[in-house]
Amino acid sequence: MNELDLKLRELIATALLYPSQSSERQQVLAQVHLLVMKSGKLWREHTSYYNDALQEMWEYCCEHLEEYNPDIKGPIVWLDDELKKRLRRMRDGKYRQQRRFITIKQTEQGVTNNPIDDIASSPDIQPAIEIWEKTIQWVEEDPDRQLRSICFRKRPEINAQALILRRIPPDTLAWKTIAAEFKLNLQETKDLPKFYHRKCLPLLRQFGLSQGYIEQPSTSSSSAKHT
Amino acid sequence: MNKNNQFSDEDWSIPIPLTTEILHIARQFANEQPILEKAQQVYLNTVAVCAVNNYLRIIGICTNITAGDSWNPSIRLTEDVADLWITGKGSLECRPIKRGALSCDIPFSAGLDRIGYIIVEIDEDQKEAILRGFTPNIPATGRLSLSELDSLLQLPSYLHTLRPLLNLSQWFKNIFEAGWESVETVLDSQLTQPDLAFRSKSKPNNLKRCKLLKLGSPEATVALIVTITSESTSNTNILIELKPNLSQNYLPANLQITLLDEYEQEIIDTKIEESKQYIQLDLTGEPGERFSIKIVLGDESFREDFLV
Repeated sequence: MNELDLKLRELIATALLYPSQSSERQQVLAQVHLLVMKSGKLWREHTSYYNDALQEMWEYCCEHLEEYNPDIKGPIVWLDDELKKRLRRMRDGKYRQQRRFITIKQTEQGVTNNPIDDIASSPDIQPAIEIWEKTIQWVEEDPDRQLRSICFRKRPEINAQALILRRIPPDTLAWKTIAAEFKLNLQETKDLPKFYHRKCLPLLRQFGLSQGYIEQPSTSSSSAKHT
Repeated sequence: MNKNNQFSDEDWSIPIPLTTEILHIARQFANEQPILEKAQQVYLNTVAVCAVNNYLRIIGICTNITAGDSWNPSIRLTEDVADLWITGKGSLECRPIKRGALSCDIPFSAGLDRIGYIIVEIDEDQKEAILRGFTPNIPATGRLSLSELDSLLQLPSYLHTLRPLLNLSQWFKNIFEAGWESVETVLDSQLTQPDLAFRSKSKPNNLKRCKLLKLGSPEATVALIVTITSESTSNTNILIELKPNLSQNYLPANLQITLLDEYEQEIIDTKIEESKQYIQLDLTGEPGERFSIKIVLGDESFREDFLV
């Protein structure tokens, strides 16, 4: 048994002394995770789904620490077995079938292009940019006149609509520039971003919420969780 | 690799390999942006938030990634935000830096109402994020450097020391923190009584949840009921009620309830002198506003912090 194995066995035994969800166990799990990741001893392979399997394996093993039997195998072997199990499953294609929608570009060498480089040529850029247009449209129209009714220091021209429009890209103005435009004094210049954060952003947040969300990311292992 | 350093506890930078899903979501969020510079910012912010989220999932810290501004399509359009909601605790800002950078600026809106800051170094070539460390506070300069960070080993115990913070806006999405049950679950038999001691002001389109507070003896158990109603897009009505335990007709004598604003100033402070069937407090809050409820009975006390 090597030094790493001994240390990991010790940590796992320590973690099990504390209830799951306790900060003490979380702290020990963090040590286990880091020690293993830095050791470079885990099974490695160059597949596009390796990182997915690795994440799943970690979530599963840390949540099911009780399943580790130190009499049967060393900690690294246990983690490797769980990792390989997931790699095998993903290789079998089930995984990819479930996630057909994922369109990360792979080159021949298995290297992912910088996604930012692909934006201009991406086919899904048109629907995606809708939220920008919709947001601008909503702010400009201000259907309930709600945005225009929220004013900074009784200055009707410095209202939520005027401010949000100046903060939306592509031409996002710096607070200093906006303050200068409205001839604000030093204190007012300081207070304007706070006002924006407190009074204007909640309305924008509400609008964003109404536009629908991408669901919470979930790795497949979450299906094993019954919380 | 230097073998002697293999088990060093000194460097607490945590490598988090980026999953297909992280890259996919980050790309999707980036695609919503009208200009490249903004797209790059959103891409890195999203990767940072998701990487920290994946790490916290591994060590068992509960999060709600969709609750943050970083997940709100309109907010991330105008603000430079990378927040991650830690269930029952608050927002953790996950600031991305590029490989080799030694510090980062904390934008104004990311510097408010956060329970802490993590710096995440992103290596796009290696498809890896490296969590470099965290700090509960940012320096007044608004610039945070790696040398000022605490080890992430201390993150679980730090989060543990924070008082619970309940995000009421999540209730509208049907997400409830542990301990907050439906009123029917907690006070079922009481509801079936024809003569309800306590009439609720609440209107139909509202959300009501209940928590039992054990303040010593079983007779001293009281039910804290919070009802929220979305009034307009900017305001939320909050009704706070205290009712006695099922077996009791009255609230315990000398029960004290205090309502504090975010600056710890007392807004309301009431003490029950004699038999009272219930207490009801009505308030209005704007999203992002905080308040606290403190309930004291003799030596027993309870406190909960709320975020509207």
